[in-house]
Amino acid sequence: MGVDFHLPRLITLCGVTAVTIVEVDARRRADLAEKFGARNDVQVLPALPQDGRYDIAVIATPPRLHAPYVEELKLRCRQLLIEKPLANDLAGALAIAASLADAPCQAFVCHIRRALGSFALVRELRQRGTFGRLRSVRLAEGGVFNWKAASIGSFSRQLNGGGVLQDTGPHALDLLCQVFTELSLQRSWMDADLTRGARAIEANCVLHLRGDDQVPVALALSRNRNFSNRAHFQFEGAELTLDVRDNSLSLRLDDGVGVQGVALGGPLQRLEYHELFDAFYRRFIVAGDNRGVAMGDALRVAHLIDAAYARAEAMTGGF
Amino acid sequence: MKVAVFGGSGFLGYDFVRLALKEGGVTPVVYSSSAKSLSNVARHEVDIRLYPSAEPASVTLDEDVDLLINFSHPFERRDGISGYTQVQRFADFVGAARRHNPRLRLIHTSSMSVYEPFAPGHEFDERASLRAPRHDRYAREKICAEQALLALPDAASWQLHLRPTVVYGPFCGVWTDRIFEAFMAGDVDYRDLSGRIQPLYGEDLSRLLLGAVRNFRPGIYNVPGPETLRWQEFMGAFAALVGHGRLRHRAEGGGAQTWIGFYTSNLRELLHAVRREPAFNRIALRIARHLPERSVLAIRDLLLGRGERAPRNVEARGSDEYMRAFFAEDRLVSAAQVMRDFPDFKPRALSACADDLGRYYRYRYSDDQFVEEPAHG
Repeated sequence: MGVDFHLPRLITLCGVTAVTIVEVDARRRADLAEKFGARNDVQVLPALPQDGRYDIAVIATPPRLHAPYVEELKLRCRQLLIEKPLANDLAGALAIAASLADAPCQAFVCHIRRALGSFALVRELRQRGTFGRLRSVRLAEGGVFNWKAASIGSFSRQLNGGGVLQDTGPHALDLLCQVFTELSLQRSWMDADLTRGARAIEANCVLHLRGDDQVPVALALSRNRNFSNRAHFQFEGAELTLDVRDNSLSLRLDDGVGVQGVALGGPLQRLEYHELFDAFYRRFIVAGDNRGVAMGDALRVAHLIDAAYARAEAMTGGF
Repeated sequence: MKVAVFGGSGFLGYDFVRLALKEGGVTPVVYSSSAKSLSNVARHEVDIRLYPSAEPASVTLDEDVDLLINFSHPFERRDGISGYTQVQRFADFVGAARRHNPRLRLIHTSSMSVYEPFAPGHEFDERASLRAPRHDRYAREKICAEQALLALPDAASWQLHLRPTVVYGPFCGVWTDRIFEAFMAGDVDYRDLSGRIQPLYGEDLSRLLLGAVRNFRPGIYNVPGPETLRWQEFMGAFAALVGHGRLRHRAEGGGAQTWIGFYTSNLRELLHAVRREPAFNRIALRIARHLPERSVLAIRDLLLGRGERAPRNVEARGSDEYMRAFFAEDRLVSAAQVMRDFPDFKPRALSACADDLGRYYRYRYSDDQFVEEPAHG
């Protein structure tokens, strides 16, 4: 699946002239070979070649497998893009970050929503006090899972480290990290029993966090519910509502006056997922700028996810 | 007791797995052919195994599995294999498993659709002949599946076939979510909702299945709900829960869709689906660069609709869905045999399930968190 998103950007935006796809599964490799067989610029291999250098390497495997590929590639590429989450647990994320600390490559984590401008705008508005003090934040992101998953990875605690929190969680937490310098976990709830056995993974989770100035933040994520996919920032003098998947926002002042629009400094409003991917590639990979999507940013998210799993309480009311 | 559950991640399969885990005493092993549908079942401490639907023979049942429940039903061409071939391969797999383990029993969830075409006012019983219309692929494949399984040696002694009627409940796409979504989108047009049905709540079917797992008895049974309702009453209950759109009668022919409208709306729906493909915009832009701007805008308006966008969360359902003649026809089966042989089967009326459905509606379509709200500063 990662191929469908990364390969077009590598060729059209980064100007890559030859791509090597590594796929260990024979069945999926056959599908890829059929898909790209007619192209001279793409080859599909069962394993990473022992030698050779790359301008850009992309690691889009289940997160448990990120670390060994990082080790194999960190000295052989100029830019290294790692899909989120960085690893399937905090220890793995710390190990990858440590391994890359002295590596010559420029490392990026695929937090594509850094390409949005709207959440950075909220940070500015909060810091300037434009609408008074920020009182609370609610963010809900969820939809019925329909990703064309290539394997059981997204539903395997062993491979993915968890469920929805490891899936859309890094994106949603990264949005909040764009707003707050400090973000700490207060409580968390999951709808899977993570303490009994080793298989169950959550389809839903709720995190209660505290941002700068003790602002309460409620984050709900789901893989089987249809959420609004919006973040509500309640200021003293206004409510700002942001779409979490594109750049649109609406502002409603206390007296009911409001406006809908698009934040400047990011791509335009109505983004499909692939357009956001384009924007991410342009802003970070093509520009060679990993500020906001570097290992430190990924670790911040990994710490919050780790705390949420460690302190998870049972969520009731599900089906 | 360990049970192999094929299709255990779909609507009926998951409902059964959830109930079995809650009640205890049964350990389901879920076999699924798609990772897309695992969100619900993966929440539970259950063994999930993916298998290619076109190659069920690649599955080896655990030695301690003596019961196989099948919820899966192939209804589309996969991996170049037709639904009928998939059905036959699944039956061959079950036959081979039975030869390997003579203690193996099968519960197969079939459908009332095997009685297509239905007759007004007539309650079909289990002896009715099965001859679905040639164009009704779903019904024909359901019949094909039953017949292929029943053709296995000595089938009558180790197979239980259940033919449920219209089943609704949490995570049911066609008879629950789509109806909710239609009313959420606004008023729902209908031409004739006078057809009668015997709706069955999913959990009630699961309870019957769980009872059959514990006290297996072979046979073929219709499984209707406890009451006979018109579609209008059934849909009305969903409208009341949503509290938004209403049922709106549209006279026969009055607002009937022209053939141009039919193709345009379907083409637009297709285009909205294709747009989600990563390559669409790139290719479309490449083409657009070679065309005059006015032409591009005209084509865009025609194909995608003027200023219209497909909602990203809940797909808009065409209100014409409920204009079909299907909803004017009675679909009734006899409950006599299942009531006689399964006296503990006590399905609930729609009104008794309304609270559950309402809670599910809130769960499925709101941001409610079902946990304590944070103290706002």
